[in-house]
Amino acid sequence: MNGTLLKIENLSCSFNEEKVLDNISFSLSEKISIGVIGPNGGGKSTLMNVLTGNLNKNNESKFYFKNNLVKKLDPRSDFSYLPQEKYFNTYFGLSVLEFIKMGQIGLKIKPIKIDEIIDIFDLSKLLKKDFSQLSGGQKQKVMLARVFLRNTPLIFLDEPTLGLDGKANDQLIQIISIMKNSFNFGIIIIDHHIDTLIEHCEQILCLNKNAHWHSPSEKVTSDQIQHFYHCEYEHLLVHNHQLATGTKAPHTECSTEHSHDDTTVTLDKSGLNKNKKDKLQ
Amino acid sequence: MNFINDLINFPFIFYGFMTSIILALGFGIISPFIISKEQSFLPPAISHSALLGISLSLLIGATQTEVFFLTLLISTIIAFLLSYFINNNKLPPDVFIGIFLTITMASGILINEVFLNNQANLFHFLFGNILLISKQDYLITFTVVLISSVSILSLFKYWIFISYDPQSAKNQGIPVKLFQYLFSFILTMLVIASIKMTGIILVNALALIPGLFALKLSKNIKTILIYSTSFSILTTIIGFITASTFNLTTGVTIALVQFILLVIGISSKKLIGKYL
Repeated sequence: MNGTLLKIENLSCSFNEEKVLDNISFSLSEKISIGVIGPNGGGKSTLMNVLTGNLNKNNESKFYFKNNLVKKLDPRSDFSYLPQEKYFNTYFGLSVLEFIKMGQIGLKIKPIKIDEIIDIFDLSKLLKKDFSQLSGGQKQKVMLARVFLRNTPLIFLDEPTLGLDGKANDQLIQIISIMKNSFNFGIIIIDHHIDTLIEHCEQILCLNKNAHWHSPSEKVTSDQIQHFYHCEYEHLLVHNHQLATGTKAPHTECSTEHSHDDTTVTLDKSGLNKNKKDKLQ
Repeated sequence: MNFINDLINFPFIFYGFMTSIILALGFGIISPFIISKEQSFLPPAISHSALLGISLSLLIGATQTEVFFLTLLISTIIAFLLSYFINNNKLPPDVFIGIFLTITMASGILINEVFLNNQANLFHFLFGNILLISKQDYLITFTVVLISSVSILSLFKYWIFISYDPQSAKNQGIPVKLFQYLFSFILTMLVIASIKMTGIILVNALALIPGLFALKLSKNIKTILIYSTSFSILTTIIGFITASTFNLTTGVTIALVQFILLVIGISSKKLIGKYL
């Protein structure tokens, strides 16, 4: 049985009197990952900040954790978070092992055994190395290991593959899937690799301020994505990296209202080039 | 062995010596954290604000112990205010430090000038005077260092986490801001307790040089702590004996001894790395 871990109802969030998120509802169960996509400025990072308690939600918003209404999710027992921007004060050194162990500090629940994590993430060769001396990909993997070590039911990942090349990216996404299925995590991932998310996540949440939909990822059509980004899906795939460059990148505007789409056209995973006419019919 | 004779025969030298060593231990433990938390500005900000506390307590005619607690109270308030402004403002922190430091010191000096009119006393507080240290000061310093060392060592992994990765510490639900206030308070206690020994101006050396020495020589945090503490105590002993032998100001001598050993330590590490 897959239990519901998190249910969000009517989530709204305002920033300087402007609504950044408007009336968002979705739920997340065990062994499920939700991939969050949407143009820059569409509210993806805001969603993370609200979920982690770094930003306040509006009064009408409701969070249910394991079917209990909660004011806030508790970082000591409910969720772990990998933020997009990281900085470290590396005036003294910490070995990779010491770094991963920091994940246990302040934790109210029982963490996963450290040996198990080291095995799954294949970190045994790095353990004694200084964390600050690692390559970008290795650092990202170690930070991800620390997040999963905490064994909280919910895992929030903001751009876990930022700056990684194709191979390292695939490897990391695969590890996330393994962890999800072996330890019953419910995961929310923000990423600009739309194709990877559609391939690996059970559900997709597309955010553009007031517009969103939420459906099994098999049903996501390139039409829907185009609707949100207002440009060709192929173009988006090509310019994937550009989307990560900030709000100045193109494809950020979406002012039109649109309904929840229930088109059930299956996305052909290999045929992302399928043309629009085929799908409309 | 003139120094040992003095130590046995003159209680004020004994108390001065013991107080300095205990303080050196306290600063040795906290010093690497001051640097790695990027808060080297805090000790001077606190020590300068102490002048306001001292002047105010002299104004109301407080006793020696009362002077310590009153100064501690005023400096703690100022250190917390400073932490608050730095936490909640998007302006660079050095702006606030620059302003706070000057204003508190200016008001201290003004009170002294207008109401107390004893410039000689002020000089003792600026550069320290080991002869002023009494048994009471010794006991207060002992308590202060005990509290601060226990707070740092018993929460050691938290301090490491917050210093190295404050953002993740916050995301894991650790009350980072509360730790910041605790850190400011510990540092305020240490700085106020050391004013009679080092003076307001020289306390920076004691707070920063041991940590810098250790961070330059090692990468492992436990080794850093051992280096920093032993460096701090050793240089204090050398400085104290030198000062008492040649009749020099103790705080000044200790600061210079520390600086010389810092330079020797760093350059010999570089030489060893180059030729061995």
